Amino acid sequence: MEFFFKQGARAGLLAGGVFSAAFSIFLAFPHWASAATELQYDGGYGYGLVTQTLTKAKSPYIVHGGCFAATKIPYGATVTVDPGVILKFAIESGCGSGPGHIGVLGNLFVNGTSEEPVIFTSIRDDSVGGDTSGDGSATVPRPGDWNDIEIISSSGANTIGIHNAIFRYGGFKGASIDIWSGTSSVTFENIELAYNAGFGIKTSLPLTLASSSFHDNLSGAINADNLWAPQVDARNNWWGEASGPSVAGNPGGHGQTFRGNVLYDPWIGKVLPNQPPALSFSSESGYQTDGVEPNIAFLSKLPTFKVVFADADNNPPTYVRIVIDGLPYDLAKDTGQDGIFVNGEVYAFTATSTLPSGQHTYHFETSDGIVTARLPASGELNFTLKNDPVIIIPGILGSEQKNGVWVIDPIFHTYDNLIDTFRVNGYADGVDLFTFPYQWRNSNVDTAVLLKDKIAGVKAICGCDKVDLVAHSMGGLVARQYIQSNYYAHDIDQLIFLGTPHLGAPNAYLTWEGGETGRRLPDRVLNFIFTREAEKTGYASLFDYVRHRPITSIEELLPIYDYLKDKSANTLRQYPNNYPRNQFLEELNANVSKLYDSGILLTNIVGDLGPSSTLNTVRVIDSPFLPLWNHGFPDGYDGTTYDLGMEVGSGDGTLPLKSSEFIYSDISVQSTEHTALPTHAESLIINKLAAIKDPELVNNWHFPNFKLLIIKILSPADIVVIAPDGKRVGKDFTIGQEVNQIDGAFYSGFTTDDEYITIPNPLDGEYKVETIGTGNGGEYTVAAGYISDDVLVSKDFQANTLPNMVSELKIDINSSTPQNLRVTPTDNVPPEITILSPLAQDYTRPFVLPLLVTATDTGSGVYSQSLAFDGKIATSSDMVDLFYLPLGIHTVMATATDFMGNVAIASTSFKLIASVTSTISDIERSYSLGWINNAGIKKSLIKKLQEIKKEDKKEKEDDERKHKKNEEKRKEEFKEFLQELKKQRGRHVNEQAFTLIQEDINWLINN
Amino acid sequence: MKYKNFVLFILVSFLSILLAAPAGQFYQRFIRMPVGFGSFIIPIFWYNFTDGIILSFIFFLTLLFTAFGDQKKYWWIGILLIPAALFEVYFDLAHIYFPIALGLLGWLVGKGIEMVVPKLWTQKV
Repeated sequence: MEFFFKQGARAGLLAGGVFSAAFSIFLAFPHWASAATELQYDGGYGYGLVTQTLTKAKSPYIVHGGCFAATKIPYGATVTVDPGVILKFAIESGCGSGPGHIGVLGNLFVNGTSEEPVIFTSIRDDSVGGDTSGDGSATVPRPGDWNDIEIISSSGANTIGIHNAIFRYGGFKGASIDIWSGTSSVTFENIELAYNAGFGIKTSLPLTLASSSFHDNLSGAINADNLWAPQVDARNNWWGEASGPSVAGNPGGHGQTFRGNVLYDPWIGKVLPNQPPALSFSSESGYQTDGVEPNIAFLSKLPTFKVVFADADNNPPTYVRIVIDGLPYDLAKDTGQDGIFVNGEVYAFTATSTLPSGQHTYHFETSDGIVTARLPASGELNFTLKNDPVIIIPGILGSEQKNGVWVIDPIFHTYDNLIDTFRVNGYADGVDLFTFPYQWRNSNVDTAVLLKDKIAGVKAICGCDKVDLVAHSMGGLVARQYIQSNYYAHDIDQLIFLGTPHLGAPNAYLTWEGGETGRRLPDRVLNFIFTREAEKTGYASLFDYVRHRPITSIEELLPIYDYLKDKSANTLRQYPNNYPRNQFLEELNANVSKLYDSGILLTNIVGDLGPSSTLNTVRVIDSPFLPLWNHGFPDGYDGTTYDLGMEVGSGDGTLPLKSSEFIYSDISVQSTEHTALPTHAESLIINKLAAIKDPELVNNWHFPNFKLLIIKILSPADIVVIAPDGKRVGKDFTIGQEVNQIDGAFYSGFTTDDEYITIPNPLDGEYKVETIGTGNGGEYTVAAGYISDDVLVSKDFQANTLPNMVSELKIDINSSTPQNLRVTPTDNVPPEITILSPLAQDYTRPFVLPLLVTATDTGSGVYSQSLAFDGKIATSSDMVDLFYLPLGIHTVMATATDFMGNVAIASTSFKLIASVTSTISDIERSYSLGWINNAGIKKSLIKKLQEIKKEDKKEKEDDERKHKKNEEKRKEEFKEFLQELKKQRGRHVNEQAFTLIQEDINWLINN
Repeated sequence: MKYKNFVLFILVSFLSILLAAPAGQFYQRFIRMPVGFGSFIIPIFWYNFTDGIILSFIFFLTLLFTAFGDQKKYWWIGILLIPAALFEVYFDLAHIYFPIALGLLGWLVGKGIEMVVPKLWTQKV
């Protein structure tokens, strides 16, 4: 069919501009079987297309050949082709032209999509757009059916962008796309060039073609071999065969060929060498350096391992695993991965509880089915699995304060072996080994709250979720109280009971009911110590202290089963009738199911010494000591019965077996006593908690620390410090409570025997220290210390006190001269001593002198005084018989010390002389003592002395001057007397009388 | 030997301490007085020790002094038994027969040794 183009019709088209009408007439001749749309022309000679958008709704479009083979997009026009548009090039000829063609001088934007490409094809191609030619199957499309899209350079810039388009059955003149040099901008993306005569594309311009497909073009895919020799980057395209383009550089290639400088490698379908997979550490916090978090983990919170798998080929792994201690464990893909292995996928694994504690080695492995990879490349990484932290909870009496800090049994060292055993088996203090000493006198309900805080603190240290508890004796009740409470935080993994009195202990009855601790010597010592403590804290007795402090823990140990036997009926009473009630244990055991349902792994280790080892029953009578023993006095406890009312049965010496065995979980019976359970059960405990079958054990003998006991006994005073500004810290003596008004000051409390007060940044000036005697009083020491960066000065002061006696000391502090720290008593005045007798005068032998000495002290009072007579200890009110003393000087010395240590000394001397009268008296006395055994001799001696005396007196009265002159005469007379005396020596005058009388006479002679 | 009795006293003291705990344990087999409240923290060893030290002292005192003591040995026994007796009377009057029996036993054994050993010695010489 030919189309006749008449000048007139064309002129009419031009003049009327009714191109479409003329075109319609033109179209009237070729009849299209299916609807097709004509392009819009500008009506000029150049067959230029106007700016237009080709839409899918009007697709397919016809691109004519023949006279219309000069269809072009003129400069300045823009043709936009929507996705899914089909352009069919007609096989028309005429006007010297061939089949359809579009010359592009303007802008062409082909905006196909991968789902809806734009197709440039032959009119005969019925596979798209229908049987547009209407010839059914009479014709089939062939390469070269249409010409090309000719991209021509223009005098101005033009832009061509062709995306997702198919060009087929074109290339009549050698290529379906022909690009001239000089074109401003040409971009291709994802195009298919197929079944074209000649080449798919011919270009004089450098191009980049990617993600495109070239096949079944008669000459080849690309022709860039021309004068301009442009480089065409045609990598990553499909060349029709997996072997790639057929070119000299690719000898195995059987695909489309090309000419010119064309880059083709790699191409789609090329078999690349396999890229090995790679493992790397995840960038997630904690995993960056070793792939495990945490690196030191606990059994209750096992670690997680993470690793990143990447493969350049995007191949999935056949496995990703971790090898721990030589055993493989598969990792699974972590959540949130996108499946793109090129970018890396995270794999994770959480360790299982089958791993024992200790240090473990590990590495990661993977394979993409061809090549394996390892991380690290060589060697092993390490992680540590630690046992859950352990907290040891002591029982009643199992904690003591030392320098104000609670420590676990520092006296009998009950837990030392167990603690050392934990240490040698890998536990470390403050890391996974802890103790929980506490004020055992308080209620277990209160202590359980402290236990909760302790566990929280341990968890914060280890970063773990759970801890293990080893609870001895009453400590087990503290643990149960916590677990069975409403505030239990489900943070206990294992709990081991050691001799816990789940149903109470009859021993507690003795203490609660009677303020007694037992009859055997150590119990009596304990009684003494706690009675002292009771008195020190203001209670009248141990019973008063237990009931009114109160020592609630003792009440909470009272048994809640039948253990009191009435002597008269010889039957056990039924609890709770006529029993002291223990509501704590009653409630605790009423909801024991909470313990069993808690999920905690329980072990109950009990001791059993045999059938006659332990107080089981108390045989009681009506109490004669009310209010003590309100529920019955143990029969014969005062020593009047054989067993003191305490009937024995099975147990560990302290608890009946029926009480400790109440919790039936994993019971282990040890043939040992109550206090030895922590040591005896070490192996079992370590095995349970650390999964160590044969642990190393520590079993040393510890001598009790009796010094701590002594300190406890002997501390006799409490203290309060008053700062220069009047603020106080210490014990308020008036109300018996602690007071602390000084910022930052610390007071250890007055229930501890090592009372101390610390005051930071003390004021300069005088601090007063008041002490009050406690208990029985006694000697005490106040030690004061000044500590700074440069200096450490300490001063001690010792003094004595009586119960409730208040004494005062001064401490002068001067920060500029701290070395001058002084502790001085306010009372620095010594006592005043008065010696009433003897007086400082002459005495003769007939006298019997009383030693009368008094000491007074207006300050702290007289603490002590002593007396000495002639250097020998005497006491005031002693009577000294001067008859037996030698003549001469005699001395009385008195010493008095006040409570502040101020000392006073006083003395007096007197002279023992003789006179004629006293000598006569001595002779009489000697006779009465039998020293002179003859009355006549006695009389004779006395008569001679009387005569001497009489004569002396007369001469003295008559003539004083003459009396003096006759002194020699007197002496001679005395000497004569002595001669007489000597004659009687050993006969009627014994040696004692002779010596005494001779001394008298000699005195008279010489004086 | 000049200080024989003093040496014997040292030996008695040493043996008493050494064998105090077993003696106390033996004593408890008969008495069976249970430990009291202190047993929550005080090891039973110390109960047995304090029970047994006086008993073993009484036994070894009477035995060794009777057997080997010098003149005034009974004076020594009498004086040294005073604190032991006071202890037993104060702390364990209900079972006072036990230390008395032990003392008598020790004396008897000591007497036997006193009679036999010189004979053996004489024979040997």
